[in-house]
Amino acid sequence: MMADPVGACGLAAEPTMAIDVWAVICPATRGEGRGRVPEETGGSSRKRTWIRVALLASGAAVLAVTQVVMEQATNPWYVLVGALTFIIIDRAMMFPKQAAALLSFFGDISWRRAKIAAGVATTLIIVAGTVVVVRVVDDDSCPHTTELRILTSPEGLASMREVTEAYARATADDGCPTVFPYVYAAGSPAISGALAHGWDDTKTEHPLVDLGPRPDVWLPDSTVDVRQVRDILDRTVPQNETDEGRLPKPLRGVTSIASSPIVLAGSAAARDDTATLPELVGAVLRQQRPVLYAADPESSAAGLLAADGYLLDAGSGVVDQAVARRREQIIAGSAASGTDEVSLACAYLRRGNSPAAILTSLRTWRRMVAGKTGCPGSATPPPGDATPPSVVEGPALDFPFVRFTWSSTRHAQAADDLLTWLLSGNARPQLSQAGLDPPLPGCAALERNACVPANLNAMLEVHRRAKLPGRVLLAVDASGSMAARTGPGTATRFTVASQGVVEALGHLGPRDEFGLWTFPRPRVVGLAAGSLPHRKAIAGALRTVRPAGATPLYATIVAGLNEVAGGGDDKRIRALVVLTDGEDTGDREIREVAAEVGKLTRASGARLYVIATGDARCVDTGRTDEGLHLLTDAAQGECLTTSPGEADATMAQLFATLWGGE
Amino acid sequence: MSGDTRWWNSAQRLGWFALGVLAMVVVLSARTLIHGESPSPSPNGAELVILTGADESTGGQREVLVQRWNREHPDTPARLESLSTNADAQHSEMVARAQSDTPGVDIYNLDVTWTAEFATAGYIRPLEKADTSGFLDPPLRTCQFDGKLWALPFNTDAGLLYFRTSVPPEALPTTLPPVRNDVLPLVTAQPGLQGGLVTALAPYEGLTVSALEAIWSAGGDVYDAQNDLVVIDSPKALDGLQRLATALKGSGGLPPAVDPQSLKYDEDHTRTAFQRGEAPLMRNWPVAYGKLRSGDKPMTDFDVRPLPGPSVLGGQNLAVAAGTSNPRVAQELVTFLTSQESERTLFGTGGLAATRAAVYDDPQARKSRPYAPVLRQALEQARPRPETPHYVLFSSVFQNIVTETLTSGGKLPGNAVTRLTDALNGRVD
Repeated sequence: MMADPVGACGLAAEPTMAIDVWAVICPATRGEGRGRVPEETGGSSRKRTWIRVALLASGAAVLAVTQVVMEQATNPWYVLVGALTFIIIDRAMMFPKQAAALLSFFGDISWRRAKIAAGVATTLIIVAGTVVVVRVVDDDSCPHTTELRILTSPEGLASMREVTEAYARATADDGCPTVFPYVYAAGSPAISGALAHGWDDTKTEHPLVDLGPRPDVWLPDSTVDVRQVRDILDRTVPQNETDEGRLPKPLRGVTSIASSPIVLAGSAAARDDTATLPELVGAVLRQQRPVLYAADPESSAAGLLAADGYLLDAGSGVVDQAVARRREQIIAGSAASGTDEVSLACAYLRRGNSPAAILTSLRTWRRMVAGKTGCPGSATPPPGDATPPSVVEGPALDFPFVRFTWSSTRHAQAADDLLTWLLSGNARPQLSQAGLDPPLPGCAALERNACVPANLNAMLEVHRRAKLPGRVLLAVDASGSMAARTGPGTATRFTVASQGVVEALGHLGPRDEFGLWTFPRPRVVGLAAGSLPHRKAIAGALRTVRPAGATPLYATIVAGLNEVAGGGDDKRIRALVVLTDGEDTGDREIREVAAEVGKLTRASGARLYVIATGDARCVDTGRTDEGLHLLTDAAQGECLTTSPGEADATMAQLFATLWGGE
Repeated sequence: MSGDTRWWNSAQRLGWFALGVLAMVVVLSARTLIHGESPSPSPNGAELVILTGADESTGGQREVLVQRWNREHPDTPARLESLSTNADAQHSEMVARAQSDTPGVDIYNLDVTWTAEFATAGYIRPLEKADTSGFLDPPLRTCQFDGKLWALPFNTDAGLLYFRTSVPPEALPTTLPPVRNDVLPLVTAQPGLQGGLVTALAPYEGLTVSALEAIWSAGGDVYDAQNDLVVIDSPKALDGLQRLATALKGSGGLPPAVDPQSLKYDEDHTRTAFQRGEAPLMRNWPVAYGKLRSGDKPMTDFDVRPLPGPSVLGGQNLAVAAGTSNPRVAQELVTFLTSQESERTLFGTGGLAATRAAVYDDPQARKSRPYAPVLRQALEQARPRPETPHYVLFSSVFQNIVTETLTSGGKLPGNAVTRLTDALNGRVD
């Protein structure tokens, strides 16, 4: 506990047992009268100034040391006893006469002994205080940083990590960073609900386990993502909290920190800065055997904004249904589908060629050319054409910086500081290096945002209507490992997968066909239109499955593709969706299976999608030429990696892109 | 009023001010004492919250233990609040919660490398009069910092050498990484291998672990705690790194002693590579044992031994949060969860390595975990990673340095000592 030099200095004014101590502590007054207020003497005004400084410093020292002790002390008993002792000393020094009288009550204590005792006590206090302060000051180790949890989109992960690491270095104090940014990613469809529910557990969702920490900052690609959360909140929060454009809790402030326009890149795209995006895209689509790559509008904000390029006509009106259907077919038939920009780019990079025409954000294109896409494995940048694409007026990602009401004071302040830095000139070089442009005027608001097309909903509606109906067979792994629990609670991997099936069935369009297989022990509900009895049959079949046995994955894939290839009319998206958590337990080589799968797809157009969880691997990190992507690339589909707990959401999201809608 | 009277009055005011500060301290400490000493359960049935990474034990044994506690202590129930299985995500949420106005946490389940950070930052409180008898010494030491006991060991971990039974015992390497001479008998035992050993060398904590073990195996070290010196440039440490770099390259027509794909592998990839037969030897944690023996394609032709050199010590410790309103009961719960009975459940049924010596002699546990004696031996030789309040930063800088060393054929970057010293003190370049 702390010395009380203040009290000690005060003793000089009265006849005191500690007067010698006072002289030690406040040498400026050495020799000044005992038993009286010191008189005005020559040079006393300077002395007084020094005394005032000493008193103020003493006061500050009391506070500082008290704070250190309160932070470091771990046993409240010691603190209590220490504080009481020093209160007694403090008072004894302020009122020495009374203290002496009190002591004399217990017997005769010589004046000399009392003085020595007081002197020793005060010296000890000063030494202890000095030791505490010196230890704190002398510690060469940096103080602890403030942890800042930053959630971003899978497409923005690599760039946001670069930018926030630069921030931590730029704001370091003598090499000691003040903030530790932890950047992690999750797709909007998965996180909208979690954000709207305060990141708390619900019956089926465990965001802290499946998605990561509760964020202090959310940095999605577009305001469109924030609208999704706001829309959920609007349905649950009382209306007076959302009136007049107020942000509903837990949203606290949305600010655009950068931008990146949607561009048409690739060798087939014309360079014309005066054209509009729909005009440029229209020119590509009028070519013979047109090819156009774009991310899925229902899975990715960038994909949704990119739809502006092919679902709007030159006059910025939504194209009619027949045109939309033809264009959707071109995109669907162009190559492997990609749910988001990065998975689309990675699929291309794995093939080692450059896309003829790709609708993408300028950020992703720049990072792709620079070899910074962040693909798993060793994908290399596309060879050849690195000419920057034309940047024309049109939609753009606006990177809203979202803060939350649930952050504590310290983290809210840290989030505010990061935002201030991002908006300052200091951050520009880092943002630019990460492939991002400065924020655009008029792109900060949730509504009437210049970066977001006004007719977004109409566009999405046209997209849904233009999609072909699906003929989809789902094969769910029911091997022994699917009985493993996914985390807290009792849900097994198979239960979570079953929830995904039920959820996906809810979005089944009237013209879609759906069938279910499980493997290795076959439970089969054949392909049929999504009538109520059919759905009930599927739910019933799932309930009877008890996961056990091996994973005959490749054999199931080949048989499943044959199954969806036959039957039904021609105008359908045919797809086999496989959910698995393990490696194939058969004897065939994956390359041999990929060749067979490729043949089947070329003959029937049937695609293969794999949802890989647990030990199943889309890209085998060690040997990039292996992994389940070999099969899905051959079958013009996609392999999606997900955690066992998120398998249901991933499945529901995938089916939303496969179903034909209305 | 004269000037001196004024300063005398100022002195008196400061005396009163000091009194005020001290009175505040009295009130605060008294309040803590009152709350701490009378742990009456909240009328709302508020539970003790254990913030932990998601339970990966077989059959969720941590939850089983908490339910057992709740049955025995209905007045002070507890619950697990689970976080991701990813250690970085766990660390982030735990630190952020500890820093927040209302952490809502009574017990943290901390990785062994975080004790110093949580202790120095004041996020946890030392345990008082805890009975530490019966714990294995290495995991218990990770609970101590600055002369105080901050936690009790919940579960521990040590690396094991997994080998295919086709490898004859005399062909097993006597150092890790194996050397060129070790490779020939391995090729005979398992034709078609990509390398002698697979181990996690991807740039994450797995690389820190594998590189530390290589350096220790050569008799070197990275940090000399006694003298507070970074010693990665000592001849023995350099030798360890050089051996690792050499082992990643094949020579004389033989495959490399360490499969170079390891540079991209984490523990799970390592396990599947071993299962696929890419290498007849593997360095991995005990949890891989159960995963190899179970799954859709159980593997039986392998066995385990302690690593030829010291292993890095892993595991988690239970610490009482500084902000708990019920420290006494929280410590009782920590004691309960680390008791011999609990440790037996965690190991025997859940497969998490026990922190108490007696559990390894338990016949039931030995039956369900046949590798128990090997694991215990490995634990006794295991060593902790460098102790610093800035471990996360230290580890990431160490990984960068090791990666640079391995890509330059074993040459340590010139500024390695400075970078590591800065990182140990929490400084960035």
